[in-house]
Amino acid sequence: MQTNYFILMHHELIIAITIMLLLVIKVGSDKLSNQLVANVTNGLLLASLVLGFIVQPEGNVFGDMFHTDGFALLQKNILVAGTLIISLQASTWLKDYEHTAEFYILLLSTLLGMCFMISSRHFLMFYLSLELSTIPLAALANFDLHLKRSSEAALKLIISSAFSSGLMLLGISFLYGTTGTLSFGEVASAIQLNTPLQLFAFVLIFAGFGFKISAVPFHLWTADVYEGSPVAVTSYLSVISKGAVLFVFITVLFNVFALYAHSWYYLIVIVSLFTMVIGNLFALRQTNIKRFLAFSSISQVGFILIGLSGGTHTSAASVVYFIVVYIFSNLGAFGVIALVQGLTGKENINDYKGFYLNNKMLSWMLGIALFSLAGIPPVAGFFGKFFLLLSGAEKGAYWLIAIAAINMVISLYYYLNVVKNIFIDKSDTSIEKLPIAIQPRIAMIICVIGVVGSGLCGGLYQYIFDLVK
Amino acid sequence: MSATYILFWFLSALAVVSALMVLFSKNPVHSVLWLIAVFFAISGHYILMNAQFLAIVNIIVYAGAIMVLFLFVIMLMNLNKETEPRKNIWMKLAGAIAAGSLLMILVSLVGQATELSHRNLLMKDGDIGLIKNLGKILFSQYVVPFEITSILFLSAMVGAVVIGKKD
Amino acid sequence: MKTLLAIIVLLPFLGFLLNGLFRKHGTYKSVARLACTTILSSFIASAIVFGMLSQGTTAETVKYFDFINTDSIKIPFAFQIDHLSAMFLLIITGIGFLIHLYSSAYMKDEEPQHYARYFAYLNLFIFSMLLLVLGANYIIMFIGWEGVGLCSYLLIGFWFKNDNFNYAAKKAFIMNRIGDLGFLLAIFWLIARLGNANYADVFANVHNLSQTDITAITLLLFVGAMGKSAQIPLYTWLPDAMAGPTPVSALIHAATMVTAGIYMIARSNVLYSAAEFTQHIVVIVGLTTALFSATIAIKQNDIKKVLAYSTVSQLGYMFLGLGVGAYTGAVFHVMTHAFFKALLFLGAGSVIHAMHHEQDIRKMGGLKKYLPITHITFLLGCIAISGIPPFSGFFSKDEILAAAYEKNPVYWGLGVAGAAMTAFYMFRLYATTFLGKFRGTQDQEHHLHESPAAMTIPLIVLAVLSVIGGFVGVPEVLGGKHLLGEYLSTVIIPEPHHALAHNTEYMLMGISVAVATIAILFAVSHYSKKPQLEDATGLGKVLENKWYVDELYNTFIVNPLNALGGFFKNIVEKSGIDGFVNGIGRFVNYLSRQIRLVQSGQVGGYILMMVVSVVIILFIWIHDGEIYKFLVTKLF
Repeated sequence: MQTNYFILMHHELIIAITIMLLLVIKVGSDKLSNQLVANVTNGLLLASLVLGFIVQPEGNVFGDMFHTDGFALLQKNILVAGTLIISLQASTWLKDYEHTAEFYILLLSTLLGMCFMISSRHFLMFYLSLELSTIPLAALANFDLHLKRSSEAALKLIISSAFSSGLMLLGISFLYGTTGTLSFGEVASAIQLNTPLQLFAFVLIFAGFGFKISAVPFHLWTADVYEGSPVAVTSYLSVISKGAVLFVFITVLFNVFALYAHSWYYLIVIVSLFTMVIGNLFALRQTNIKRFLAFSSISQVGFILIGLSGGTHTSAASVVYFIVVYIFSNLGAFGVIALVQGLTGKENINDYKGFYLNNKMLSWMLGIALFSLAGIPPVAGFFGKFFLLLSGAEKGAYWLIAIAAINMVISLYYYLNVVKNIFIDKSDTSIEKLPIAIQPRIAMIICVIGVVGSGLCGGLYQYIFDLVK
Repeated sequence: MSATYILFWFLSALAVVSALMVLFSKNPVHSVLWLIAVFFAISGHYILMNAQFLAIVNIIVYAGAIMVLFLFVIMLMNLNKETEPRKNIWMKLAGAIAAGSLLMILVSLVGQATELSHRNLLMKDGDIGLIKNLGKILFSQYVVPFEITSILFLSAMVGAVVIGKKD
Repeated sequence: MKTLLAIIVLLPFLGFLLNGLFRKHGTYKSVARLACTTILSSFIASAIVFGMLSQGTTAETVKYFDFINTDSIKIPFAFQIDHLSAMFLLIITGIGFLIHLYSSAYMKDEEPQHYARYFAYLNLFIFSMLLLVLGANYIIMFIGWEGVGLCSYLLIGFWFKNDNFNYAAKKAFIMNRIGDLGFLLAIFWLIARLGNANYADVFANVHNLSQTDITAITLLLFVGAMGKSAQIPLYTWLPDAMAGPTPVSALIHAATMVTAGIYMIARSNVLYSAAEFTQHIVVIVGLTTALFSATIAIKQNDIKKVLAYSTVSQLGYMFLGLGVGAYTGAVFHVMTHAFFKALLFLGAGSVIHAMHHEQDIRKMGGLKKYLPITHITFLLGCIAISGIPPFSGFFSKDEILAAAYEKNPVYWGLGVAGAAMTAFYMFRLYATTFLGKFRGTQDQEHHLHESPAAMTIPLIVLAVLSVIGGFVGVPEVLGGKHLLGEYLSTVIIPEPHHALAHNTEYMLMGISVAVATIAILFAVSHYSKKPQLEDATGLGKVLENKWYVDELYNTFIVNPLNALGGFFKNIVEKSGIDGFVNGIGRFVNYLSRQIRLVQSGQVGGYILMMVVSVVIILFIWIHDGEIYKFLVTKLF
């Protein structure tokens, strides 16, 4: 048990220091090169990632406000790695952007919020860090400053997220009112079955979580916000932010509301059903590739919820494993899209016709990522979905698994439709050969290795599973 | 019926009525003024709960600073009845029904809640809400959330500056 | 031993990777050198292993990692090195090396890129074949089995611009797949009954299997062997496989891959000895194939086709040996056959090379004086295959025939008849090709030349082996010692001692040698002067058209299947399945169009939706989730 909070909070400290450093740099000099800012940030993120794997302390500081252990560290590492990939991918877009430092300050603030959120064992702490991980995102969504739809996205995000926070706060306050405490552990032991107000509180908190992970029926903001935001922000929203909230969701569901497990099982099952089906139905008809990915990511959340419904160590491990896989695959797809959009401004699926002709490498990257998202073996997405469904099946809801399988088939249609556009369809106006700078290239290679490797390397799931225990 | 009791009901009624007026006023300036009334009523509640410092801060920051800022913005943008966007009547109706049923459920749940009956507000000593005690607890037990809040404000500021500097 | 085996297997794979990946960067020299060196090193390592085993090192199983690891099934990735696999290692790498060397000259006409591709395939083939013989369980064997099938497909279709060659490649692959299905079913059956497929465990547990199980498993394995080793009715791919480059025919379709079936059954000899019924089937199939393809070979005019049918026929002999329990004899014949058949194919390749890709023997003749080395070595090969003592073919064939006589004299009689035909068609081929007058064009005659050293050296080495190779298995009756039999005695259950009297054995040998000699003399005298040039008639025509087996298959299997397929495609699929599937697709599309209306773009609407959902959730949850439970449990 470690008590030195410099060691316990090393992720958070490095990120906070980076934020301050960026502020100082920005204030100190007007004419700083974007490359420098990006490199400093990436370097520190990498350092944090490496440190996160080397130094693995365990312990509590500041009461219940901050708790860390191997599992939390793994989750933070996943998020930091994902942010690093996004940062590398965004370098094409940020190269000539005048607010690079601010972009990174906001991005890292949300990352900091997520790290604190994962470590929090107290509802106050949880709520504040959740806000810290959301509000700067609204500003980031507006970072395509000259685009009206970007402002619209920001406004929609901030309004609907404020509302969902309101619901959640109401829930938390009812919880406080009935139990007299906000600490996770104490709430868990103070909670009783069949108390209407606590049920009410749970539903409200659930709604707040549902909003953040964009589960149906709290998902409606997703498409507009994803479409309007800059690609880097969209990928951050759809992957990192969602992943972080899901990590905490695991803790809240499995620890705080463990007593209600029997009840929330049904709730989650129904929500996951709707999420899968409706996400799929929306994704089917999208023509904008960002919007398409947004909706497909909604249906992915449906699958995650199936895994979550198991309520055991296995389901926690399968969810975390899937998120790892999902980060690699979705970021792989977003990386290519970001590159194409950044260099040509095209973001319709039809624009990708004949993409393979001039951009062999990018096509393969996008293809592999989409295959993984669709869950086709041997890429990792298959194993991720397999484990999710396996842990969902533990409760014996085989019909749910059957519906999930049908949804996988439907999703196959639209994922392969994009693949078909890339590889098979011909077009007179296919995209020219795009130059790939070194940073996005590295990011893509990491993604491909991740997608293929985390599928083939069977030890990864075991590693996560051991940590969960 | 003690004075506190009467005061509580009065302040509650004031808060609810003012909040409703915020929604129903046609003129945005009036809405803001009603909102200030809501804040005052809530500050009254804080005082009833021995949270004196909170009450004062609430009035100074919310009712004073933020609402004045609101007023400025609204006046600068010259919003009035005519510029208010027309809302679909069905949407209004649906919203009313939804919110009404939420209220109904809430009321019925609170009514059913056995764990809340016979429970009194814990007052402890009268000085719990004093700035000295608040500061102590804020910088010991709640120091991390406090610091997080500061980062949240910092990043919100950075974001606001970037967006505000548009063009 | 662990590293040594890994080296043997991985070197060819390395060669494949390097040649395959950098095929656009290599020169003729570098490619050939790389390919040959890897195989040569493999051969040397194999020789060391072979030596260690004969010095008394015991056979062992080395495990590398867990290949399949679940609760109920554990399949290790392991190699089993014993005397049988060591011998096959030697044959594969040894002959493989010679053929690599030969190919380096033979394939010079190709572009560098294709030249490298060719060697990459060839190395991959050696790798797969080594995996096949070294695997310590049926799964690893199956991996190698599929690997060699793939390489065979790739190499038959090596000149992929020719459609006919592609058809031949496809035919080979599909025929093999039919056999593979049997093999696979046998593996499943074994795993279902015994829980694993390791040789050691399977053979130790034979007594736990019921007779039905053993019969079924051995029959299914034999189906696999029939596909790979080209036995009736799955043999038709092998003659067509001659579309590939000639060294490939020598290596894959004569010396090594087609003997995989023999290896598999010899490896499973414990199982087969316990399955009498299967043994009968094996004998019948083997003998029928031996005779049937021998008759076809008599009337073929393509030099490679003759050799191909002769291969099928010889494989039939090996199965005859396996069926009558002479496992050692069969393996012995595999070895000698590898020597002389590779020699004959390479010789044929040399002829084809000299004739500028002319394969019709009617347009050859009198090549004796143009191609002296090829001629001598080819002649030695012909004598060896005809079973004339003391050439190698005599000893191995004699061992099989003796065992067959012991089982049933009729088997022996038919075997000798086949041997006579073998001698006849081989010397018909020899005489038509090398004796008499040259019948090709002036231009061809002008360009006739002996092949380069890289091609003749393998010929000479193989010729020497064909001549002396038989001495490792001299039967007792001739005062020799069966070295091979002793060597293999740890792996293969020793056959019951020959009950035949020495006199009988002398007589059998005498008859078979005499018959073969007569056939040879007849063929040489008949064909060297006036070879048959016109198209055959009557029975000859039937034989020339290979008993119309391909046509038979087309009429009775392929066409009905096509018709059935057409029925399913046009009627069942179009109106039934497609209608159903498309209907679902349309329904989903429709839903998707309708549901999109919710997504209006108005934040107010979104928030309203959230509130409504919360209300609904609360509403149906008020009675402790009773309504949910009803929805979830009762509704579905």
